[in-house]
Amino acid sequence: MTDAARPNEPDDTRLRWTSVPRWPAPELPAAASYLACCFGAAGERQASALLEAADREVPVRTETFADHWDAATEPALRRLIEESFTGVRVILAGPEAMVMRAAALARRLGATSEELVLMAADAVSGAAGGGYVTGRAARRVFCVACRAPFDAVAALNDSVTCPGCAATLAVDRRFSRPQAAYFGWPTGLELHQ
Amino acid sequence: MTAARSAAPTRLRLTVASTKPLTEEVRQLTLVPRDGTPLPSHPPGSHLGLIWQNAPERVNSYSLTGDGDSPAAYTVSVLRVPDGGGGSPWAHALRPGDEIDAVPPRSTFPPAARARRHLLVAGGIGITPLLSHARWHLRWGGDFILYYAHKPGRAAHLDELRSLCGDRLRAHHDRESLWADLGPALRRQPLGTQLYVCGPLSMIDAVAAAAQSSHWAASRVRSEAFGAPADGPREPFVVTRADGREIHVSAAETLLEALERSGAVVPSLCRSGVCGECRTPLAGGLADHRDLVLSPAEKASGRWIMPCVSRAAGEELELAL
Repeated sequence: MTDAARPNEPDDTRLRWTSVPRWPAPELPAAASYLACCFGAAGERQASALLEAADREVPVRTETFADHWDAATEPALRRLIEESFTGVRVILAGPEAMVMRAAALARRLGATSEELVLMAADAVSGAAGGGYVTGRAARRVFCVACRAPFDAVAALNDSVTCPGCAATLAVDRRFSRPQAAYFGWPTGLELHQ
Repeated sequence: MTAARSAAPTRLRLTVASTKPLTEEVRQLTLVPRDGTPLPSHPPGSHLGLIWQNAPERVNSYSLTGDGDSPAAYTVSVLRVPDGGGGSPWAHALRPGDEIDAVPPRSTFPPAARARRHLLVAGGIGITPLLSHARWHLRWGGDFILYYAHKPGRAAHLDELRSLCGDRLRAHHDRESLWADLGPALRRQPLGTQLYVCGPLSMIDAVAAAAQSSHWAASRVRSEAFGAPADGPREPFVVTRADGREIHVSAAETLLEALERSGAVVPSLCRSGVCGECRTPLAGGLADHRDLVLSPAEKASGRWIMPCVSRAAGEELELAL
């Protein structure tokens, strides 16, 4: 596909006005304890680099998971979060798709944004405000036709096929944090007004 | 002088159904609608404004102690404050059959809808909104623990709480035993616990400080102060209104009183820096904020002032009013 065929090719300036997750350099907040949930080796490296700034007195628990979501991920994460005490800061590091999905689970279990530190290993470091995951990457896409999420590998604005209803969807620059997914809109249905 | 209002505010017309002493200083009032219209439901932790004087209207806000769901009656528990503004002695003198008008329930201290557990901490008469919370959690199966610090022998609602809450109630009648229980508990709550404190300002500050040192996120702590914020020295100053009129505020009056004297319409309820009703936009000048409503960020923004208690930090203030 040529650039001319993709006039909406996102750049960092445009993405600032969308809900695409932005990834500024994280800071380690003070805490009573830390729980680091790392997805893949890259996530593990990121989390351990961040935790070098931690106070030596503060207990740290680090758990490493695969870099893709499987049947074991949710129960294991759920157990770790449910066993945590108020005062913990939960560090989630790894591919954006995993980090956002884990963050959505943590919020459902009662964590607030103040208690979460999120780091995307696949974000392209951008301007001062932080980078984005713009290229081809693992992404969760929410099909607005059949209202179900699925996993895809795609860049923003790419076309993907929904495994549920076979619709051809464009990966939108709108991201739902509770669904941890990009909206996927059926293509070829543009409104003409 | 009573300020004319653009629209007649909603008022509830109530009758005192019964009164009951809970302690030597606390009296419970049960209020029912005068004309049989159903009473509005309200979130737990809401308060009802009893109008105890007209022209000028004076309102005292009391926490409703029911769970708020389709109430047949409102109940409030009034602590007698002999050296206050006069509202609580009036409430203590009410008898069955007396008629009262009231400002409908207002919610400023509700439960967090998505919390996994609710840790309720009450000091003295600060038990009233948290009794409402406890009833609501009991009704809907919410997980809660209620810490109630009270003076020996002067605990409103204690017997009722014991039978309602069982071992979820932790009653303490001195500071040391409260902290011996609550201090460690603040470090052993599951992630997703929300903390609520209601009582004297000193207690709220102490609990908030303990929570902060245990690294509770700021959004996890909710509080409602019983008792007015500390007043400071009052210096006269000049306030300019949006139309350019200058009003001199003397040392003897509040900014709200001076505005009302000049004919300004400023809605107000508690007149003690707690309820937030009189929030007024600032256009210029530095304010000496003395209220408990504005957040530190709002105070620093210089955009708002609570004229019932706050004053000018210098000699002048400009209002967008």
